[in-house]
Amino acid sequence: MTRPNPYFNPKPYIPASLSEINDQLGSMILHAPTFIDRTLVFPDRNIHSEFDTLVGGFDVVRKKLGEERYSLLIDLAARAKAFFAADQDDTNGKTDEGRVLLVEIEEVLRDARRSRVKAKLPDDDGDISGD
Amino acid sequence: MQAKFDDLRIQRAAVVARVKGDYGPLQVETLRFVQQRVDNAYDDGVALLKAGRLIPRLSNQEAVGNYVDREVRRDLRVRYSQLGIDPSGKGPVRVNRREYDSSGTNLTYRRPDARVNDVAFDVSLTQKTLGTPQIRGFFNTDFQPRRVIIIRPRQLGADHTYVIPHPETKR
Repeated sequence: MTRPNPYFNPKPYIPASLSEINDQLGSMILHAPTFIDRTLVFPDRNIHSEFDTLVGGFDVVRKKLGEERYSLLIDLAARAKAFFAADQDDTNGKTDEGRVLLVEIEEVLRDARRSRVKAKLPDDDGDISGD
Repeated sequence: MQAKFDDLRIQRAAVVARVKGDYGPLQVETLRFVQQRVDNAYDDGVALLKAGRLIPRLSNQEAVGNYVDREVRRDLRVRYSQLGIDPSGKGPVRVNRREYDSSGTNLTYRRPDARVNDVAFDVSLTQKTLGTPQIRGFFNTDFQPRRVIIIRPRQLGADHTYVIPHPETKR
């Protein structure tokens, strides 16, 4: 019988801010369409875990995004995932279409950050950073 | 096998930091981890760019650098999170958080890619020195790092990664 590792946190990481989601997206753009980590440092990483993480981040910052942007992002993520799922061998061009949608998500996040700066809304540290 | 070995090393380092308050091993393991992620992300970014599958907003180098930075920060957050470390909080282990400099009349800040206690880590494609304003800025922050480690892709040559020690000047 193996004991659970007391030093391992089994809860998956979820981005906690707009900038953390932006970093998540950058990594996803590099590793589409399978998102598998070939170094095996993150052996459980795949298309489902990556999109769960991304959408989980949207949920965390939902209030900051506003309902309209949030709905748009959920839709873009679902469409991007469908493209990648349909091109796991990266041979039929759908991966590039999915990547375009990830870049579109970046644009929506950028717009949200600009709006927050313009409205002088503080981030979690109390500063006006757009985050 | 290597991944398992590295996993055990960083777990041990996190335990040493938590139990003994000694962040040295975690600094070493952070460097090893980041170097590996930087090297891989650089390869992936260059390959996509060469294939015309990344549309750079500015220069090609800036585009690759941007993706490398983001990949490394994300992976480091995941890794620390698995170790029970909150990299977005106010503890001594942080990823891309503001480090304030309260020495002047106006409060300013710098944002190292990572900080492990008294060492700052900067991921970069370009060489940086003590003469680089960003690096001097790191040393002037309130946590007064003993060292700044510049981590560049191994593919850039023998001097890819190096340590800049604190200049020992009094503030």
